[in-house]
Amino acid sequence: MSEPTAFAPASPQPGFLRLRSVSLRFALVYGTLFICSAVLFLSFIWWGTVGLLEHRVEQAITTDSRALFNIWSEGGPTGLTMIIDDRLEQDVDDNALYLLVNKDNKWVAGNLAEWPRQIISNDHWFTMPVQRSYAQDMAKVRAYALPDGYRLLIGRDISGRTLLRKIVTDTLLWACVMVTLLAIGGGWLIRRLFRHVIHSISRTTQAITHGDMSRRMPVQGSDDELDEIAITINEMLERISRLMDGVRQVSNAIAHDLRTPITRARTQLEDAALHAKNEDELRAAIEQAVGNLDNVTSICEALLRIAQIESGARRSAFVLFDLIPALQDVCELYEAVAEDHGLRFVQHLPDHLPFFGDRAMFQQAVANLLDNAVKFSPPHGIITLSAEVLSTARRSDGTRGKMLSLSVADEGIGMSEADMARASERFFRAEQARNTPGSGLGLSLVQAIVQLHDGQLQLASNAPGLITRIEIPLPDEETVPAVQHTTTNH
Amino acid sequence: MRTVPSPKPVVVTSDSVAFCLQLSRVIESYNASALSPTVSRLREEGTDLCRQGLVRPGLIRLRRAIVSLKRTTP
Ligand SMILES: Nc1ncnc2c1ncn2[C@@H]1O[C@H](COP(=O)(O)OP(=O)(O)OP(=O)(O)O)[C@@H](O)[C@H]1O
Ligand SMILES: [Mg+2]
Repeated sequence: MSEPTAFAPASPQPGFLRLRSVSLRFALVYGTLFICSAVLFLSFIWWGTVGLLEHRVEQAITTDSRALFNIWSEGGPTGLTMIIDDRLEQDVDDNALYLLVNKDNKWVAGNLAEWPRQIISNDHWFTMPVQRSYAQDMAKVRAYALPDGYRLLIGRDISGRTLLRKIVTDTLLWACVMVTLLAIGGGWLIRRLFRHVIHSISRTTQAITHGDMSRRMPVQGSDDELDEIAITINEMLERISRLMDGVRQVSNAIAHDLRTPITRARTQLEDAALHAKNEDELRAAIEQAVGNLDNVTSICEALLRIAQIESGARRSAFVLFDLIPALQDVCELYEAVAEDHGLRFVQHLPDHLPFFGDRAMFQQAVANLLDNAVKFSPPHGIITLSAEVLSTARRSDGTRGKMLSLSVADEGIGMSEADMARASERFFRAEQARNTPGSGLGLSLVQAIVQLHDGQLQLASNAPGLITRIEIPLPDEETVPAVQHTTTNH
Repeated sequence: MRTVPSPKPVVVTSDSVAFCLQLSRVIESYNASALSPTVSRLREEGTDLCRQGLVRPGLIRLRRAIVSLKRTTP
């Protein structure tokens, strides 16, 4: 039989005290800090009162001894005796203690009956009891050696101070007890608060890990750090669910959109294999199938490209260049295409437009927009490409600065509001666009490129037709000293 | 600093009626006629208290008298 308990993993102990718990550690740290600072503070008070008093007594005795030494050197034992008598006569505080003895240890002057037996060494502080008429008191004394074997004892009755000292010490001890209680109480409170916060976070996150993506952190509305965390987590969840939706939708679309051409190619090949009467028919079927498969490849390529751009890896290829020649290159191409479709192509471009970004990618984006405009316009329409610099536009991050506004307008079939909102989704194609060629990835690529340049893609109605507008913040003059015209040919 | 427990504390000799009277005599030794009324009152009170056995308050009054005497007469 095995012993499960011996090998059971260390499960968190249920109940009140769990040493691994962060909240308990928090409370302990709080309590320790609180007690430490309180003890430090109280000892300061102790030294400031009791310590100071003791120091004062010692200082008074030392000063006194110096004065008496001087007297001795001037007047010898007789002079010292007179002074000691004087001091005792005028000792209003009633706490002075003096004793002068000769080399035979016989009393010469002072108010102590005899040399205390325990005081054997000179120049040390002693605390000893003295018998007064009313009680037994404590005295702080110090002995000094004088010439000719004389010895002098100077002291102070410190009973008054002892009482004060006891009061202060008692008070401080009580304060310590109170502080400890307060620390424990405060620690407990902190622990509860902390647990409350953590629990509300962990409850929500647990619900989410169990699959309930719709759950959100409660926001108290107090605008404090907890709310900040809650809001951040909620935003994070929002974004995660949006991304998850996107992924789901894209994988559905991929499955669907790749299936169609593959199935078609398969059917064509199968059909040809069964029914082709001669080599030419067979060849034609194979060519059609190859065309369908090329379509699949190009969809895959476009998807990969969008993913690569969205990852932001191409940002390192950004350079400063003049946008106008780059746009003109694209326009040249589409002028011919527009002409083929019986459309008029108009351009409103400034002479120069310094731009920071990826040249080839930006050309691709504009080409996609022009491609759509041509594709969704009936003959005799006008397609307009215009670019301008808005000097103090409000950017998406709230700052104001220069912005590029580039728009492509057509007079074609246009889009409904609902379709515009979805136009940049991968594989999205409006109902009216079903019978035009395309895979619904063009605007997704534009969107990815524009976002890589920190810009925005907007669609609006041109009644009739559609306006697609790209807005991208331009580098400020200060950050870019001079325009470097890139001379790359392609 | 050492604290030495001792079985027999040393007696403070200034806590006695004898010392009281000695102080009283010291005051007397000053020119009696020149004593200010406060000093003589303090001295009388002090001596009386000492005689009644209240040595400590008596001593305090006598010492005060001496201190003020010293302050006034150089
Ligand atoms: N200029 C426009 N006029 C009207 N509808 C448009 C226009 N541009 C885009 N659309 C609509 O938005 C959809 C998505 O456009 P997108 O460019 O992403 O795909 P596509 O042009 O259909 O295919 P692809 O660009 O991949 O060849 C189009 O199918 C169309 O319905
Ligand atoms: Mg397109």
